[in-house]
Amino acid sequence: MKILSGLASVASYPADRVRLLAWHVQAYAALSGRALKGLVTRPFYARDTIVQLDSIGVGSLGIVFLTGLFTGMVLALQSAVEMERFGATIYIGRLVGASAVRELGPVLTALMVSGRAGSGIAAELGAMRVTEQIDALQTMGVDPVRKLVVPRFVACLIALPLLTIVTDIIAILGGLLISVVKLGLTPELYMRSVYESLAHNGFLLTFIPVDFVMGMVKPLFFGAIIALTACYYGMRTEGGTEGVGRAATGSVVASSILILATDYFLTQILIALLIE
Amino acid sequence: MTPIIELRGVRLAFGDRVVLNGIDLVVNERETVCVLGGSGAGKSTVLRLILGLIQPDEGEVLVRGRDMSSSSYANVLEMRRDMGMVFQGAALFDSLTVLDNVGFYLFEHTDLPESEIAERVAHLLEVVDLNPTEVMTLLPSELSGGMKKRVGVARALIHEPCILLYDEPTSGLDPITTRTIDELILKLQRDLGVTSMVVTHDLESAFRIADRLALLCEGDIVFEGTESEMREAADPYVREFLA
Repeated sequence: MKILSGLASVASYPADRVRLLAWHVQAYAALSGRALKGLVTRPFYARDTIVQLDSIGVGSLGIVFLTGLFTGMVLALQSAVEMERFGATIYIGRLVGASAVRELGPVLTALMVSGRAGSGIAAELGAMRVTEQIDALQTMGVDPVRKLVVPRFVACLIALPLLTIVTDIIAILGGLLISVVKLGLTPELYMRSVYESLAHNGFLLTFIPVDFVMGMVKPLFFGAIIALTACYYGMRTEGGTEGVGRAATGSVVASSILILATDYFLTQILIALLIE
Repeated sequence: MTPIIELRGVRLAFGDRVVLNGIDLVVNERETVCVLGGSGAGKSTVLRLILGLIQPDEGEVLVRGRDMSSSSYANVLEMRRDMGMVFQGAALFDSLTVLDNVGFYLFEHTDLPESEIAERVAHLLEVVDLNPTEVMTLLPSELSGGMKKRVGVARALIHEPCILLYDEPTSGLDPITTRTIDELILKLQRDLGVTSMVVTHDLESAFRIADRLALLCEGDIVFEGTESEMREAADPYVREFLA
């Protein structure tokens, strides 16, 4: 009998996992819906939003700067190895510009912010959950989604595109540094090559490069993913301090996977809409 | 006597674990009722149900005649304004000073000038026997356990609720601080006429402050009555609990 009930529980295991996953997807969607509603309805916590903008946006400038710099430098180094074989080192700017603005800028910025700010949000809200501070908010007639989630959501939506611009610029400058110092290109040649890569897919409204638009749409989605995933994990924390650690780790893992998967599908859609 | 809090046939289970098994409990106006029970008996769950933080599987939770379990979220938020809650660990907001913690409700829900809120906070800190000038600007991390509890009580009182709910108000405190917190609860009941429900496992403290006591055991209320009735009860669990 014991063996039979054991087998039955093993058989029901995948079904339980699927049911649990479906439940999480539903709860995540509900939180997203409430956060979106909070964007357009009162009360709006402007002061909390500014505090979060400072923490998520300004606070991430350092790592975003370093990410951009080393990414640009390594892109230039790697492409130089191949390009030198064909005597095409003057096109290094094209490679660096296109890679940074279209893909690496938005994705790496999002991953870094997820690791730094996302984990912080999950841990902070998780600690508030296990010490009953979120319950305290509710007992005082304050909706925790509006007070805690919406300001972080808005801050990420604003900060991610701006941080991505910083990463893009620094990456291009990092490439410039290597191209000039190590490969002997002139700055003008490198920058012209970067411009050509950005102009390659045309312009929107005659002056905004399509590649730049692609690179700016993605951070909006990535910002939403980072904030909502971190808040979701934080608000659902249980199990004391151990639970807080689990929430922070889970939030970074989940948002990183979501960012990479969303990047693929968004790229497909944006290529279809803007280039093809 | 007007009933202020009524639990009628409340049943709640988390998965297979039955926490409350169809309990009935009434707290009348200006009364202090202590809910006793061992760890994990579902005492704090009772408070969470009254606050509408969780919903029962069956039964009704009435606060001043309105059902918390079937009201809309907006109504629940409004009904919570009648209640003040003192949390087990005080649940003070880490990033806010004592002034901002105690005045939180007024900062959130009123347009009162900061100076007036500060005045009210100072008055309440005096009510809970704290020196306003000393503690107003401190962060929760700079307070002792007993001070945190007092600030928690002051925060629960700021919007002048008619119901006060206490979750283990004396847990983790030394006997002297426990006694002063008990005296504070009695003082608030006497001076402000609030209706109180106190969840505790501290018998001595419960006997000091309660008008009536209810003992929870495995999801059921096995005893409800006064201290003297409890001492004379024949129920084996009550006898064991008193021993």
